[in-house]
Amino acid sequence: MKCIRCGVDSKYKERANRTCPGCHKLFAFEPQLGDRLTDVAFQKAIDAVSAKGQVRWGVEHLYYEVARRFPRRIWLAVLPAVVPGVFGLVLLLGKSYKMAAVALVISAILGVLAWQRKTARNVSVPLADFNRMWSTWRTVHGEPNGLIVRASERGTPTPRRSFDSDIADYSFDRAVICDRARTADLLIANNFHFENNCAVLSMDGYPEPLFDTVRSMLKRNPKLRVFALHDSSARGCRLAHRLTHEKEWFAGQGEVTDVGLRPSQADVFRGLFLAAGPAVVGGGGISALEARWLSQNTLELAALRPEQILKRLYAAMNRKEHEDFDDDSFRYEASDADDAGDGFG
Amino acid sequence: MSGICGWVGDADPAILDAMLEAIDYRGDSVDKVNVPGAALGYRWWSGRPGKSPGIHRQGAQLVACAGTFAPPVASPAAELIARLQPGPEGLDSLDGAFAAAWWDGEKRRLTLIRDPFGVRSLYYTQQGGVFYFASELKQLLAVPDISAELDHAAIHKYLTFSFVPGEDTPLKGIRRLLPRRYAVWAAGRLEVTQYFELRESLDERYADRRAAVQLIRRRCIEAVEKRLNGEEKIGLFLSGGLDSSAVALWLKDAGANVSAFSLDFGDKSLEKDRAREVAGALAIPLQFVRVGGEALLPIFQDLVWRLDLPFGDPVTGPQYLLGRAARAAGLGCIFNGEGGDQLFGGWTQKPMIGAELYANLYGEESREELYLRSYRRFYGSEDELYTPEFHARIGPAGQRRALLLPYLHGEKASTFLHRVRLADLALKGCQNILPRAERMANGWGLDIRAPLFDRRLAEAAFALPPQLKLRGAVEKFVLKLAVRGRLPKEVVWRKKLGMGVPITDWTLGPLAPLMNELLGKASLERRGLFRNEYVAALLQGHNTPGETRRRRVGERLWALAMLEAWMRIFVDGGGKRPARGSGG
Repeated sequence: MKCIRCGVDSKYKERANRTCPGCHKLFAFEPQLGDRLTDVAFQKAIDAVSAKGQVRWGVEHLYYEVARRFPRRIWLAVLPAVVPGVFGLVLLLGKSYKMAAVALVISAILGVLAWQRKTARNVSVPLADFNRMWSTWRTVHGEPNGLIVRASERGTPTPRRSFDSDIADYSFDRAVICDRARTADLLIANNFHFENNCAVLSMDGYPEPLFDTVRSMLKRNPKLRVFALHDSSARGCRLAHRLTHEKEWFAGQGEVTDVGLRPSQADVFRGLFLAAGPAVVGGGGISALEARWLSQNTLELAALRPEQILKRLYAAMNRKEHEDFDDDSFRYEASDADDAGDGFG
Repeated sequence: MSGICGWVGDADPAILDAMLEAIDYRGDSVDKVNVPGAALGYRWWSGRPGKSPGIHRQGAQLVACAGTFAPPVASPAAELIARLQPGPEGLDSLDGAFAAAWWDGEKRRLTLIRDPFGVRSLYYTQQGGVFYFASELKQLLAVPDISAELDHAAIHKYLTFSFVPGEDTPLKGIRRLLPRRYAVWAAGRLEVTQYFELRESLDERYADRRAAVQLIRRRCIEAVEKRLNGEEKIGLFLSGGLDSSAVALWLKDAGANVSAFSLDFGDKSLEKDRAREVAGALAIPLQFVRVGGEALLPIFQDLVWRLDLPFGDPVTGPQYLLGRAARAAGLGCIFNGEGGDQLFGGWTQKPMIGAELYANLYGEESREELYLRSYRRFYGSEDELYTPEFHARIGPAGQRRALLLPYLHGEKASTFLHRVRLADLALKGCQNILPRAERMANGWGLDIRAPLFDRRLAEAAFALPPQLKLRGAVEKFVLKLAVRGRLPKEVVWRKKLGMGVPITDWTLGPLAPLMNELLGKASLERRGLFRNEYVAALLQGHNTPGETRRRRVGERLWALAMLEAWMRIFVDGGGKRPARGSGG
């Protein structure tokens, strides 16, 4: 097993007490003692979510990345199917057709079960197992670069900036509203708001110190473009509908475009679903077909790699604006700026 | 459309000829004076109104002045000495686009002066006990003893801003006089003084929108009118955006015989229809200049040489072609709408508002750091781009932030929007947009006129409440109101979708051979500044993972290619004109 610090490749008997014989530092994981990943594999998962350190990420993204890489030990499931299969073939050669048929049917049933396990809908790593691995990793290797940690959660929080008096008088051209604060964290920590000139808020009031200020700023633009970004969950799939119809959000103002995950997009993420909560009833932005899917499954946005989330969101926003370029909605009016007229028009 | 040079000390008179020869495209007439201990040279186009008709001689006083005043005078050089002799108060209302040198033979003193917004440039250096000055860097490099040694700290700044800001130039020992300043060289010492300072001075009279609109409209009209020097025919770079369209309107109102030129990027053009609409509404003849990557290939070297300094914004290529077209149409001066974004708050300021609000949520990031990031070149990517050798030579941390501190904090403004406007104006406007526009126009013998960079207009703009500039999300609100009803509605109220130079298509398409030659592994290794892995990914069209916009690939490639080409011409080649027809 290779050490990620010094690169020395060692055999199990050379690693006393999980220690690398090269640099004498600890390994986080030891497959010989039952760990399902090596340090190298875990580091590769971190490299993948952080795009080799160039994108900031949350621990929830790492969870799904680890799940993608987690060995499913398919051979354990397949083994019971192989034994009766081989037995059946032997019987077949011995012309014991009835017995062979029984053995082969058993083999086929076990094989189907194994295949179903391989293609399971839900994520295969229990969260508690991942949390144990994550805790061990941080103890041994420290906190990885690029992990999003709110300043308020650090030992020494960064003081809030005091704003100049005029800043709340302005507005934004567009806003991304997320169904959960962690998605807002991902966008803000990666400067998406800055690169794309948009406000970012979550439905549940994040970022808390700015929430009311930013939401009131958004009210100043009647041509605001709103983008709803969410999980494929009952709550997430209702987000755009709520933003369009709730008065404290954007009822009667601007246009809301759903850029989140919906059940129709979920299939390619099979294996990363979570079990759903209570049964979902259609309506409020959810079709009957979607309600059926959502009653059984949830797919979190965090199942996508951060880099993909940022790029997909940008592409969706950009596509929408180019579609509307020749549209009246892409034009301000004097009245959009609370213009009482100056008598010259 | 003219240039000056000279020295204080004892130097070979032939050097003055070489310095004037280095800018032969800045005029067909030359005047020069050699007196004991000093020399002045001046090149200009004869027969152009508003220009000094030679070096002004008044007893022991000699004045060489390149450029024009606003409003125009018959001889800016004579006017300058009349204003300056009583004292610096004479500069209080001086405006225009000029750079001048005044040698006072009695007091043995040289005064250098630049216009308020930095349209015209002035550089200086000391070599062998002689103090040299010139309008262009290449003139100083024509002095035999002056060598071109790269200043790595200045290159570091270029890679953040896409131009070299502040008094530094990319060459060690050569300094620049900043706009709105004069410098006195006497007894071996240089003293620099700022004669005009722009700051927020909110006037409650203009909280009234009607009064504010009237003020801005009046100042804009005056700014345009006082830059008309009596030319029979003038040109206008008309983008189809609000600013150049407003200038078109006021030029027509002033009775100018104006022809417009606009860029045509083919199916990538975003504002072409708007330009056509404005020209049609104002009955201005309009010529589209087709610009594609192919058109830039044969002119690239000449473009870099004429720019004189590295300017990394890809807009210079189209500007070069616009200038060539205007010259071919027989014009001598060209107006533009530059300055509107800086004065009235264009769409580029909006990200700073979000950045300010969301700052410090995940760790401390200063306002200066956010502002540096807004230039969107290589700030924050230094570790990936720079070689360790280059990194070791860029000097102490904080140099870039120090340039911003006077504007983004402190007493010059009390509102956030005005702080950012002041920083934009001082850096992006006066040290990037204006000087590069001047080089591109002067490269074709055209006098550039940027009426929105006007002293009285700028003062008026900073007397208005910032909420009249950015009204909700509507940018340049007061300017929109000032032209409302006079320009097509689409031009006044349409949102900006961003400038449309399709630079990524060009750099990865027709310009790819040039990019590969300038930024290929062999070239990078020879220069030793950049890591091949980073640049190679850009050459293959790969964005950095966190980057969502494809256009950043082209912008970054162009900025790096411009720098390498500039180093080949100015550092390796001593600033000599490259052989014609050589692209890369």
